[in-house]
Amino acid sequence: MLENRDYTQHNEEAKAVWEAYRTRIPIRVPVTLWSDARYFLQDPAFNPDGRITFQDFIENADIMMDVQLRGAQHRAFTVALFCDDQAGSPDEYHVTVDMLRFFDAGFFGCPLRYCEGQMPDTVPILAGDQKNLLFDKGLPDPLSGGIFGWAHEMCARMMDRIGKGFTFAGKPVRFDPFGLGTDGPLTTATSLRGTELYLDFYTDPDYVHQLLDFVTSGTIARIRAHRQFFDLPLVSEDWAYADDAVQMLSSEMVREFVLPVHQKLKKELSSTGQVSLHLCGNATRHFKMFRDEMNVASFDTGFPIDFAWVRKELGPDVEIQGGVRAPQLATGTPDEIYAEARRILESGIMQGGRFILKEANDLVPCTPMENLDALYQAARSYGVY
Amino acid sequence: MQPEIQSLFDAIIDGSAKGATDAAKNALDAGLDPSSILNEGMIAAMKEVGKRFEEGEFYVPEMLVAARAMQSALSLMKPYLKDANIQSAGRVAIGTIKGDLHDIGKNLVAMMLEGAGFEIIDLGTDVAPEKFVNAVQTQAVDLVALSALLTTTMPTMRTVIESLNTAGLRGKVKVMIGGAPVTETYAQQIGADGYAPDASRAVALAQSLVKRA
Repeated sequence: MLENRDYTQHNEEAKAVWEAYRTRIPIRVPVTLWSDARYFLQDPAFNPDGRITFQDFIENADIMMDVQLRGAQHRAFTVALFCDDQAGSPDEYHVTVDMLRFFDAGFFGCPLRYCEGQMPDTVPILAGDQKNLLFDKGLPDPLSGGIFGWAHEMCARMMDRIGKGFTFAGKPVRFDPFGLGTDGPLTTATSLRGTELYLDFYTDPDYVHQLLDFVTSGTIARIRAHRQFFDLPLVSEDWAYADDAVQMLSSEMVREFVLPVHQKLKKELSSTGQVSLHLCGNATRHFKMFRDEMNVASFDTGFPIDFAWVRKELGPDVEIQGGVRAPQLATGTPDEIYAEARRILESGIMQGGRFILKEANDLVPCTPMENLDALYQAARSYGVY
Repeated sequence: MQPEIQSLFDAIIDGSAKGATDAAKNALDAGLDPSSILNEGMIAAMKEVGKRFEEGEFYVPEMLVAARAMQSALSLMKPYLKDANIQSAGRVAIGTIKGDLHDIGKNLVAMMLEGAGFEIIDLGTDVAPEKFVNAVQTQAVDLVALSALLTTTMPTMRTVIESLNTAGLRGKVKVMIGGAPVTETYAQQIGADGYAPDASRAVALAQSLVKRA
């Protein structure tokens, strides 16, 4: 079935869906499917016997490039067909320094820990009586702090290869800037301090304020330095970020401790444009506050989500991205996925034409293509305006 | 409720470690039965904390600070509970599954279980299946509690259960699972005895799975 797909027809439909969505005259709910390096490295068909380890991927620029390029090629002929991506051979390929989910904490000096066959994670450096360690050290160098020294070595190697005319599958390869985003001050502070941070909210609230402010200042300096490094405007019009850890706090605590540093990030890094916020987990109780206080116009969600409630709470003009839980997408039957996608689409979430259907959140390696197809076909049947 | 026990209950709800320790000491000094102090002052308070969490009144900091207060009082109480031969609600080996370093959820569940009177053997994070098996073999564990945050580490939960089967221990121990990507359906698929969506409901599940005589 997959081989017989008509890429031209798929691509024209996808293009029309996105154009209609962007011009606010939607014809159908767009579908996106996000996959990261894990999706490829943990797929035995792509990486037999796990021959390429995460450590190989992270420490060797050539291997990182190879995985990204082969992954993009693989995706263009598989996953892209089950969402509103352009499928088939792209005009050009892109690579970057991929620091997975450890870049924020790694920047502040958290060491990486590798677990066999799994994506590495960082280890807290401010646990116990080390809580003030970073304040004593001061902010890291914005370009070379923590793991960013390594990242720039990787960057230099990749750019050198590309500069010498490196191509892939006969197509040019471009280098994309890195170091420009953040997974959020609270999430970063959590990685640095660990569980104890959540006791600090009561036992040492001044410390929490101080740590969040420190993390935010360092993050702003790092992002601005990388914008400058890559010849990008120091202040961008739009701003996209995340902060999953807010799901662990009451809205009152988010407002007191977290919102001020989010506002500081926005003020320093973006102008008056649209703000997009990724919050997976049970965080919808905070959405309205972020819409009103941060001008968030787009929420990228995970689970659990009550789609009907979220649409009612936020109104028709706010973009919501969300969908079938990634674990269910990986382990359910096509009929179950189809039914779940239909349930979501019929929940009222489409009201206003600002819904994007997706996996929630990040495709699990080896998710059956039949399940992705079920998701896509549900959108084509029940996501029509 | 005796005023000393009410003070202990309130101090735990308020997350006051010093208040809880002082109240427990006052209750002991007043000659109150250690079992009553434990059950009515401490376990009941943590049950209330769990209820407030389920109702959206408490979140992670409130649960942690209450659990810390409970632990402070419990440290003081332990010799008296031992002298009174008060049994724990059960012994739980808890850990985050191999390959996964996330521990906030696991820590929260461990603290809430301790607050409900369970003995906790915290195996930490990135715990290999054989470590769970070893804990069951050597430490008279009633319940194994498995945590995972990553979709890619979830499958190791099944490996732990298979390892317990292979070691001939599955019939001797209950297994419960939890973590963001985990569901009731998944628990059934891998042969776990139960799934809890949060720390509060993990306590209720553990209590239903481990019923000591």
